[in-house]
Amino acid sequence: MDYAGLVQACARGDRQALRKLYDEEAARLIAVAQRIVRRREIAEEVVQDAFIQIWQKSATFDASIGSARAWIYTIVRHRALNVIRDGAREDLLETDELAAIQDRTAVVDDAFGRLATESRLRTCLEAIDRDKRQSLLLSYVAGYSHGEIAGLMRVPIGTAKSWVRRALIALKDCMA
Amino acid sequence: MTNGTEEPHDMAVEAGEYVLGLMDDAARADFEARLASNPELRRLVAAERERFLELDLTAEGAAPTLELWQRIEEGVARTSSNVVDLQARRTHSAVPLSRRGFWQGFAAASVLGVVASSVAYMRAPPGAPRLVVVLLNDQAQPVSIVETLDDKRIRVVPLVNIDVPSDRTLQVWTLPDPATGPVSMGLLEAVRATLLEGPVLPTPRPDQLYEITLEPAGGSPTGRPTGPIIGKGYARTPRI
Repeated sequence: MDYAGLVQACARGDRQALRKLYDEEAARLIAVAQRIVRRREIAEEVVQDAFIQIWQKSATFDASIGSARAWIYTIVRHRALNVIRDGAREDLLETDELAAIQDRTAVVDDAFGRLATESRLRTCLEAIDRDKRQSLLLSYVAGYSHGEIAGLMRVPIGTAKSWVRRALIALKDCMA
Repeated sequence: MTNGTEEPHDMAVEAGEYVLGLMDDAARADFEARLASNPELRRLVAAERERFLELDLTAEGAAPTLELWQRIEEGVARTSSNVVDLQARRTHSAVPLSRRGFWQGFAAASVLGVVASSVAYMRAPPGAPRLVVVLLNDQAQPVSIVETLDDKRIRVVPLVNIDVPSDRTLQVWTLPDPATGPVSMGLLEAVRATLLEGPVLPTPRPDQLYEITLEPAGGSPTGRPTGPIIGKGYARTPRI
């Protein structure tokens, strides 16, 4: 799949190219958004807005800060993060706290567990202390802020920040 | 930060926090400003994005509802920001030029002297152009000139090579009157100087908008610009 070619075709006004990206990625992008916003119908709205942005921003896609596929996922993640930061995660406050924690942990464990056994990312994540790894995954996969990580892990916010940083450094060094 | 050996890590951590979405608005804006001018930072961000993408690719989702694509198409049709400039001007005709419009007009005026005079030397027109338009792309680079010859004929002189896919064509538009909306002046069959004859219109006037868009082969199916803008500019009176 030539993602960069399709994004460039969008920039030339080719709607078929947008449709091809949609057919290829929409289901997975909804699942990615749902890991962050939790509710399926909101995840679909996120992907709807994201595809309109992909169309509008296609001319600004810049391969020097990542592949076209990563660019598409970044747009969806940003949109999902904006939605929960605007909506302040009402669900999480309303639901039973223990159930919410279990749900978030399950989402993160599922993503981690699905990495291929031969994946270098998996090997490197496994080498990181569990708390630090969990902080990193809560942030990327579930869209948690430093404050939310601290709340869920029951540590001061400074500790949560430091865990994420150390995990980032360990990961980069391991994968270098 | 004072320890030089820590700096690569600091930058990598920043790139990581940026990709994770952990920065607040101010930090993110600051980081993005640096990103624009720092290739090393861009490389680090690219590496973090590719690294974490693998986690996204583990997600498995059910097929989207059928209405989702429909809503996206409607959204695209409604908002296609880079393609509806002329239509937007038609509906907001009373609104003065946007800041960007102002700067593009300014840039057009500043390159006008150079370009217009060289055209006058290169090809003597069958009558001096009444007005000259320098069409700029969204990077404010000149891509083409339009000379208005009378109330229906224009000459289009491309200044750069424009990549046109085989199933597309370049179409030239003008906005003689916001109430009428954009009018097609014709198709550019090739990227070279071309004389076009459009419908008889009011005599072109200074500040009249001209635009080239990329349209499906055969021209826009709707009679209005639908594709991305290749270049646009406002008519100016040449000093001949």
